[in-house]
Amino acid sequence: MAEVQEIPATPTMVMCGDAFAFPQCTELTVGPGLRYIKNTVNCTKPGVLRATNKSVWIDRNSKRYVPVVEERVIGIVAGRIGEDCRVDVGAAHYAMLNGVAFEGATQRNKPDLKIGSLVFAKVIAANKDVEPELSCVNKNGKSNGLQVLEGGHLISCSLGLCRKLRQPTTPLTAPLIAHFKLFELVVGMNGRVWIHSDSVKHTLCISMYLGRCEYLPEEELMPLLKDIVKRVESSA
Amino acid sequence: AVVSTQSTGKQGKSSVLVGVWGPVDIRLNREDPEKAVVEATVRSATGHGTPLDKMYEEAVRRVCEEVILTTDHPRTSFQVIVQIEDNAGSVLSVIMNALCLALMDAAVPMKGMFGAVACVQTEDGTLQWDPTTDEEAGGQCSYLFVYSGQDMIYSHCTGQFSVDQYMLVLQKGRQVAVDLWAFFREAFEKLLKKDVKFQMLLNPKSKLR
Repeated sequence: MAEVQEIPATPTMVMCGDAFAFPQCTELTVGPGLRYIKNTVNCTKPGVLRATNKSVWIDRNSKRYVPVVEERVIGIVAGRIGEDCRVDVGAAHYAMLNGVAFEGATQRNKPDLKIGSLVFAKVIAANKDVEPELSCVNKNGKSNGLQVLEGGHLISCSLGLCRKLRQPTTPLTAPLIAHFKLFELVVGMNGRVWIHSDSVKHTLCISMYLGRCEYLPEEELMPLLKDIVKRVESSA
Repeated sequence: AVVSTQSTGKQGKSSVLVGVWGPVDIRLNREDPEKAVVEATVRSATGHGTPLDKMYEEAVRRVCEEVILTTDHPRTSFQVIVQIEDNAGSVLSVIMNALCLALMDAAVPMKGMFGAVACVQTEDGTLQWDPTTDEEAGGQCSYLFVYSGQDMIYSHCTGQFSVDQYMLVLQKGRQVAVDLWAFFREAFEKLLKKDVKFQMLLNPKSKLR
């Protein structure tokens, strides 16, 4: 058997099958990409192993979404079964969204969800054996931004980009905020971003920018945006 | 298919393209309530499908079912499509190695990495690793082993050989597999470092750590 090391304190690259000893007498949350077997933590995905005092996980970019509870996702309504809607969230199965799970909605007064409409919802149940469930409302009946998204433009991107965009201090959106006066971005954790701005050209610029900004260093982001804006303006 | 991953395996001149999709939805009559089903398709470069392609499909399916954590995604499927672009010998080992890289790239949950080693033994007993088509035809027996961790998870051997010869090749092949995994690690690190975020995380002097 290979030697089993301690979980490294600094981020390290790991491959599938690498095993680390679970520290004694600690409560540690074993996160995505890892599994806990016989007092060792085994890596199931290649990536960067990161650890804090309370949790250890594998940081990895990928494209395929697997639903997790409490994550906010953008879904496309694919059909209705009675009161529920079947929503495509990009996972293996369709998710179920109750037609009344919106703020202030009752049986008689609920949003009209047509096939193809976009919904920004929260995953409330994500058991691997059952279809995931969504809701646009929390326990207190408040929506907190979860709603049907009208108009705008939806783009697909990788899960890593969505996580970066959702961080409050991300440098990726700084050029957008500096350049465009009026725009709205809704980022779902399932690799989808909804863009809404005051003109088609601006939406186009933003979507092209988001498609290319993921791997660039901070200093190249503003020149990228300026280049895209110039090309879109000149091609009009 | 929403997500595709392709990896090209080139050993000598054999070249293969592997695409992996998953976890994806599956037809009701084919789903397994306890685990994910692996569906493999192998197409050769030219001509219609042959029984050999079917054998490759079965090999790919068995290795995937052994290595992928299928119980994490019940009632779904993982689809693997292999296109053989050029067959210049030891094609199945090229397919297996490309498959491992494709599964890693697609972030499919796996128990560990796996690697394939192919070898041909000539009449005078010498071993030729990664044989070309001519070497495969001229050899007395051929071995293909797929290793994962400490175990050998798949083998395909043809011809006449003794138990001692088999055990010798099995042992030597494991060392070749270990070198292969070192190469996979290097290749993956290059891929990771294309992303600025991971560059900063892995850089010992960076502030993010």
